[in-house]
Amino acid sequence: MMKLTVNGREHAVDAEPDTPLLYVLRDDLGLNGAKFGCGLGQCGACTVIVDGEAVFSCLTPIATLAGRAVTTIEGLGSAQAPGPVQRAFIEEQAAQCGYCIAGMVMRAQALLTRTARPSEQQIRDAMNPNLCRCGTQMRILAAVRRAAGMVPEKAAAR
Amino acid sequence: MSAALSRRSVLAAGSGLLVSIALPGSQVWADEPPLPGSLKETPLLDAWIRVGPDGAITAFTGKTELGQGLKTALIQIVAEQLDVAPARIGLVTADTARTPNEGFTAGSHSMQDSGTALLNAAAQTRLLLLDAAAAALGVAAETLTVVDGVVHAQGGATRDYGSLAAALSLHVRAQPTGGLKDPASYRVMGASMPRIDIPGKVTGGAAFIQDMRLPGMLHARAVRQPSTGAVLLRADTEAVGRLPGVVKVMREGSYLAVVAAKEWQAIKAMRALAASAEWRESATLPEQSQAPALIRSLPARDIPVLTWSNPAAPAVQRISARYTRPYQMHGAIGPSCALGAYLNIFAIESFVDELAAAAGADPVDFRLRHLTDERARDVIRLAADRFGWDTKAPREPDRGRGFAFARYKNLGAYCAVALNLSVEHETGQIRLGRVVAAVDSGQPINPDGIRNQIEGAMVQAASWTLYEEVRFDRRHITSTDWSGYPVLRFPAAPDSVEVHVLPRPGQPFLGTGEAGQGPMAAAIANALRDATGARVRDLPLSAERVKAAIGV
Repeated sequence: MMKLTVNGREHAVDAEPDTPLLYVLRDDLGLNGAKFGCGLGQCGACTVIVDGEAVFSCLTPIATLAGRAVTTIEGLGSAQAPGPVQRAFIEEQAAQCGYCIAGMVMRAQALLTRTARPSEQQIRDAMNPNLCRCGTQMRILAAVRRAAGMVPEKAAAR
Repeated sequence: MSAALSRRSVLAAGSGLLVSIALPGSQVWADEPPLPGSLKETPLLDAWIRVGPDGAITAFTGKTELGQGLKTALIQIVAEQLDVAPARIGLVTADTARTPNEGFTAGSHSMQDSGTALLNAAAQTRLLLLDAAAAALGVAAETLTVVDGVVHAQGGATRDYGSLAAALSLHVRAQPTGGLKDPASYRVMGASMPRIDIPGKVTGGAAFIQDMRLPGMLHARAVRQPSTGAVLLRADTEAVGRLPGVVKVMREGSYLAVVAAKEWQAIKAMRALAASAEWRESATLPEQSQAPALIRSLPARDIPVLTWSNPAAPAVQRISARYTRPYQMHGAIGPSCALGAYLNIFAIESFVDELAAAAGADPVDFRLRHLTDERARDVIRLAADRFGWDTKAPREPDRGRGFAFARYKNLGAYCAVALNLSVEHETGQIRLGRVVAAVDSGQPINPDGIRNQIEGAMVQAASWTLYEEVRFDRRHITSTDWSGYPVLRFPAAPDSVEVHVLPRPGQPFLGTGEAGQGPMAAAIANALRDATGARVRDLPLSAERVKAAIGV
């Protein structure tokens, strides 16, 4: 039994210590947000936040997580009460198929926690590890800008 | 007997049973035009729309939401034609037991097929409900108005859809036309509406097959063959069968798989199984550099897409060119997004620019001069105008602008793209600047949904055009992950993308999802030519290839 703190709650998890966090989140805790994309840390679909840093949950064994705080997209808000970054993604309609989006939101959340007012280049560089195959990049960038309060309300109106 | 008359007289009899017996006869309908969209295959109204006795409205579609915004757009259509708030409409998608069978959700067909069916089904359902209300209230149907599912007579009397539907059968055949509201009165169709699937997708809601968990569910993983045509000689299925959690190891011919209680156990067992496997491999693939020649040598079949003839004056100059694209990988991260065939447009619209150059004409003027379809000309003019296409604009070294236009598959949406880019001379790297598109999708349902689709199509096509090429040796596909198959990442996304949607009130829906792909590819190639003088006809327009073409 491993103890894991996810979204502020402690869970006792019956999984082998080398199990990547992704499978524990999805299969043991029933959380849908983090997705399996490549299993190699090349696409970012599995991105979650550990102690404030965006990490690839597909490459993070749970043995390394004792005493550390894991945050998934479920911890940021709900469809009824979305958090600020989630709300920005909804307002920009920044999703197509949506498979990458939880990872995008978590990557953006980690950036904005660290750097409240990032430059365009900082946003693009920070988002670099995450892929979107539907081509939603422009809206995702707009959502990150909006979450950072960098979009004037008038210009944001569609 | 007109269709409308026959339906009204039949409906006046007030019996669903009577209707369904009376209508399928072929004589009355023999001269009818075909039913619109998927009503052709599924003509009964209640296959598409049901109105419960409580007024609950359920719409049915055989198409599925892939993130193209289909559910939202279909709800907008039904809400508009029935005069009911969108939030009150339930939509059942692609359920084999309940919805019409509309085949694949692919090729930008959903709005043309399912959208058109629901548009007409909803409009005709409204007409039947109004007829029933008129009969009940003893007034003419034309004097009635509907506010959110409640029919109002001029004197103030009302009837709600639920009670009207309870005394009415919708198990009737749709008509070829009729019942559609005046497009000038549309308030829901044509107004951007937030997609109903997005809040769930950004908050961890269950949205994908991967999110389905069944009681006692096991996890399986297959061992991939190391190369095309590899034959499995042996694998240590017994040792792998003893690994923790493993329930079963499957071997059938050269197919190997493992089933385990937990997902990570299945992955570890799959890796152990792969490590233990011995294969006989052989060289089944051609040399990559020889692949285009090999493909040209294979038997080919010409498929006429559109036959059209307009004899021109004798040519004063003959120009020919060959364009190629490599194998590109679908490469979905999770489920699917479309990989349409965009080479044709890349080739045609690159070549149009070559022709314009040979004629000494501006690419936009040249297209306008040779196109007669006014809708094509409109999107070209709009894209050029919003981009600020200026023939006399001063030129800067290594910066160029490109234009391209296509009507998707010659029958879908019209899309024109204007863009600028810069080329890093030392590396051949293309940097996309401002991208402006104009699109005519027929009557737009959700303009922001159209913009999202066209933006996506263009960014995706930028990735194909600039980077993507499946690599292989004589035995293996060597592009096996994102490091071996680079795609567009955020730093390389264009500086900006804007999409302008033409209002086309009342026009038929035109497939839109993939309409931006071909024009984007050609606009990039045309801008590269404009920036450097180099015409690159082989995709991808990789830094390596561009560098070679501009001779640095």
